[in-house]
Amino acid sequence: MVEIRTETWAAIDEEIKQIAPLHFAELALDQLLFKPDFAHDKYLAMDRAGGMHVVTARDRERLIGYIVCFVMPHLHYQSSGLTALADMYFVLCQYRKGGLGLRMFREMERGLRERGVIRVHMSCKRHQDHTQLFEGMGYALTDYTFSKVIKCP
Amino acid sequence: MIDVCAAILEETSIEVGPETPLDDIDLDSLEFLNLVLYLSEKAGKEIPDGQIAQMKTVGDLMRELA
Repeated sequence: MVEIRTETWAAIDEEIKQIAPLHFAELALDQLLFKPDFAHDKYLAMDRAGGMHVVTARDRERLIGYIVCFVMPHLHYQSSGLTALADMYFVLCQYRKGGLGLRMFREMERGLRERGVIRVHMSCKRHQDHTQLFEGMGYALTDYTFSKVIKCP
Repeated sequence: MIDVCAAILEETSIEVGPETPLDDIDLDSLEFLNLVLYLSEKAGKEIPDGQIAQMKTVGDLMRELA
């Protein structure tokens, strides 16, 4: 049975290498230009500084899904409390049932609230639009994000 | 008491019982959210975030709504 937990980045730093390629193959933009290559040292440093929030789903201890957020005071409103910004989230496709994603987001909100986070920013790709889910969970559409490759690496 | 199993059956056409793992129910997150919202409204009870995350079976969902 799948277990949902709040963990640290350090707990998934190695394991995420096994499933992230599936994540990026499904969702990443401009895949000919950008190759998955996590800055593990920077993630670990942020984790140690308390700037990350990680929710996992595990099937018999095997990592099958994750939500990774950055947690910090918003630089425009630093005295207004902590803000969480979703870095990435993913569940292996064979586990996308039983509302697993929803249950993970609820665990994320519980944990963030407990840490004193007052606002969460989530996002999704246009080609995998989760607007209805986020709105159903009480999120409001606040921004459009635009992206352009301006120089080939 | 709300018939959680009947509501799930209506959505998925699979037979479920209290011991059925939620992971076996073929509902994506949006469908599951709608089911939970529907059942919560009928029960007049909201399920706290932490409880939703820790539910593993249909029986867990039934207990939260009882």
